[in-house]
Amino acid sequence: MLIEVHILQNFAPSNLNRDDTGAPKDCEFGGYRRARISSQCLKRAMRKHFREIPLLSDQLGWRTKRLADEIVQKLEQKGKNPDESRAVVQTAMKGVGLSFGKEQRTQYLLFLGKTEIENLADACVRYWAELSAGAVAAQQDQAAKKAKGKKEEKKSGKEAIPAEVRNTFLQVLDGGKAADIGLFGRMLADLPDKNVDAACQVAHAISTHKVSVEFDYYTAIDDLKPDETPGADMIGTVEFNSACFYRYANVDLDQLVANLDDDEELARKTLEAFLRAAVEAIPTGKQNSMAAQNLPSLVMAVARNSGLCSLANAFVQPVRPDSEGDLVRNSITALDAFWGKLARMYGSAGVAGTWVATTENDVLEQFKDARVDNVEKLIQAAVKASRLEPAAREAQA
Amino acid sequence: MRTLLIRLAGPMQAWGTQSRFSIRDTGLEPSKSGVIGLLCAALGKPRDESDPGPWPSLAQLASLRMGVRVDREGSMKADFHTAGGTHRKGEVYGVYRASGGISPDAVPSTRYYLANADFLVGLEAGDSGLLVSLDRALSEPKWQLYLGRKSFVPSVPIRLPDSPPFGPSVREQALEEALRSYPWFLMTGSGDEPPDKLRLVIETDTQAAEVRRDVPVCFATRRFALRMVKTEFIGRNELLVEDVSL
Repeated sequence: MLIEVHILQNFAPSNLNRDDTGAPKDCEFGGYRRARISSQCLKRAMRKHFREIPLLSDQLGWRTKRLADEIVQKLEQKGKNPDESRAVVQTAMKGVGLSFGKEQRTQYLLFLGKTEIENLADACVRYWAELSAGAVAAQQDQAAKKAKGKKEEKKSGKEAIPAEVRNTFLQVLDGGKAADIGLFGRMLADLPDKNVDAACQVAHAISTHKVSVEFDYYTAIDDLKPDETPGADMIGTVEFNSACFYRYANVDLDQLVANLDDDEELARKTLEAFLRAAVEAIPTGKQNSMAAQNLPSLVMAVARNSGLCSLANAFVQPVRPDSEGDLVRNSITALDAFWGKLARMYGSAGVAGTWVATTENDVLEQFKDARVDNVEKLIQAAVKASRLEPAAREAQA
Repeated sequence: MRTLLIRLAGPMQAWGTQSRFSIRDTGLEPSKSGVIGLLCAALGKPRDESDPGPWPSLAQLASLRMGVRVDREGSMKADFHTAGGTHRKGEVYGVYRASGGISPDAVPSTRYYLANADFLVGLEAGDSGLLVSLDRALSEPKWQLYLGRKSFVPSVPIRLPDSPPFGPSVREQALEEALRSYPWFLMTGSGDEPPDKLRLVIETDTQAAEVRRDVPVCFATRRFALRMVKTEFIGRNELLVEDVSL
C-alpha cells in the first residue's frame, strides 16, 4: 500500500530554495517558466522538522547523550554503579564511532523502545569486564597524554570493544530503528554499512502558475560614516518570487516496514510523523529576511494499492487569478477538475481512500465526498488506512 | 513480433548514461538501462541477481528490442544540488568521502534533467508472455516507479489503459509499426500543436548507427554493454492525431 500526499501551498514573497546564482530555482512546465523548490530541499526541511518538533511521544531524537542516559538508567536498575555504567557506555559508544561530547548527536532520528534499550544494556552487562577495562585504559591514556602536555586525542576506540557489543549497538544505531533513514534512505552516514533504499518519494514542488523573476534592490549604509558623505556602502539585488506550489510525496509502506526491520508499530509512527512534517515543514532559505511562513491551503491524502501518479498535469495550463477566484482558489479548482478527468480516463480501481482538508471548501466538486474538517483528522484517517499495527498493550503496567 | 508500449511523461525526467562524479547528465530520450530498471522496480526485482527468484533475468529483459518515440522534446535544464555542509555551530552534517572520512564542506553537484518531455517507449519480443507479465507488473508495481531519478514522479500513469484510443498496451505489431501507428494525442485546451515531425530512436544492429552504452549487464556492479540505435522521423502527414478533450 502507498500513501500519497498532495499539497497546494502559496508562499509570500520569498526565496526558499536558490541555485548557484542565488536566484530562486525554476523549471519549465507546459511551456512556461515556473518556480520550483527542489525535492532535496523539501526532504531536508522535513528531516529537520522531525528533530526540532517532537512529533510523537517517546521520540528519542538524535542526542547520543540522551541515548547514553537511557542505557545508564537501565544498567543502574540492574544494580550497576552509575559512574562505572557511564564509563562503560561511553566506551561502547566510542567503539562504534560515536564520539561523546557535550554537543554530540547521532545523525539520525531514533525511536528507541524499551526492547532496544534492554538489548543494549544487556550487551554492556555481558561484556562488563572488557568494557570497563577499555574505559580505564582510555582514561589512563588520556591522563598520560595530558601529563605530557599533548593535546587530548580521541582514540579511535573501534578495536577496544568486543565485536558483539559493537554489533548490537550498530544494529540499533545503524538504521534498524532510525525512522528518517527508513523514510529517506541513507544519504549521510557516519556508520555506512548498509545501503537503504528510501521508502518515500518526494517530487520537486512546481508552481501552478507562471512566474517571472523579481528583484529586490537593496542598499546597505554604514551607520558610523560621517553625515556629509552621500551614497551607500553596498548595493545589490536579491532575487525572489511568490508562488503557489503543487507538492507531491508518497510513502511505500511495505518498503518502510522492511527498512525498519519489520517493526510495524514504528512504521506507523513514522508515517504519522512524515505526514505531519509534509504539512508543517518549510524550507529556510532567506527566511530571516522574508519570513514566508505559510501553511498549505489544501492537503490531500490518498491511500492506494497501485497507480500512483502526480497531479502536476492539472497545471499544464498555468493558473491565473481572475474574476472566478484568486490564485489559490483557481489552483484548487484546477486540481479538483483534473482529479475527475484522470479518474474517468484511468479508473480509480487502485484507490483505497481519499481525504481532503482545505481552506476553500466551497470550491470542491470531485473531492466533495472526500472532505474532512481538518488536517489532524486527515492524518489520522490516512494512518488508519495504512493498517499498520499499533503497539499491543503491554501485559505488565 | 509483439510490442509493449509504455508512456514516460512528467514535469522532469533524467536518463543519464555517461555521468561521472558530481555532474549528472541526461540523454535526450530514455535509456534502455533506465527503462529496464523501471521494469525491475515494477516487478520488485532487486539489483543483486544472486537469488534469481520468480522474475525474468536481466539478460532476458535486456534482449527486448527498445524504441522511443519523442512525443514532446524536453528542454534540458540543470538542477543545482548541494549535500552536507555545516549549517549551525556544532552540527556535523557531512557527505561520506571515498577516502573514508566525512567531508565538512557542502558537496555541490549539477544534475541535468529534461523539463516537460513526453516519450512513448516500445519493447519488442517474439512472443507476448514476457510482455504481458511486465504489463501486469506495471499495473501493480511492487516499488515506486520514477522517471530516471526518484524525485521525478510521472504525471501520467506509465502503463497504458486497457482500451482504445489510449490502449491496449501490448500490441500484435513489430516495434516500428507500433510506434508509428500509435496516435499522437492533442489535449484540447493545452495550446499544443501537432509537431511537424516526431523523432524515433530505435535499437538496431546496423554497424553504421549510433552507439549507446546503456544495456544493463549487472545493476549491482553497474556494468553496461553497448547497443546501436538509429534515428528516424515520422512526418506530420503520417501521424495519426487524435483530439482528446478530457
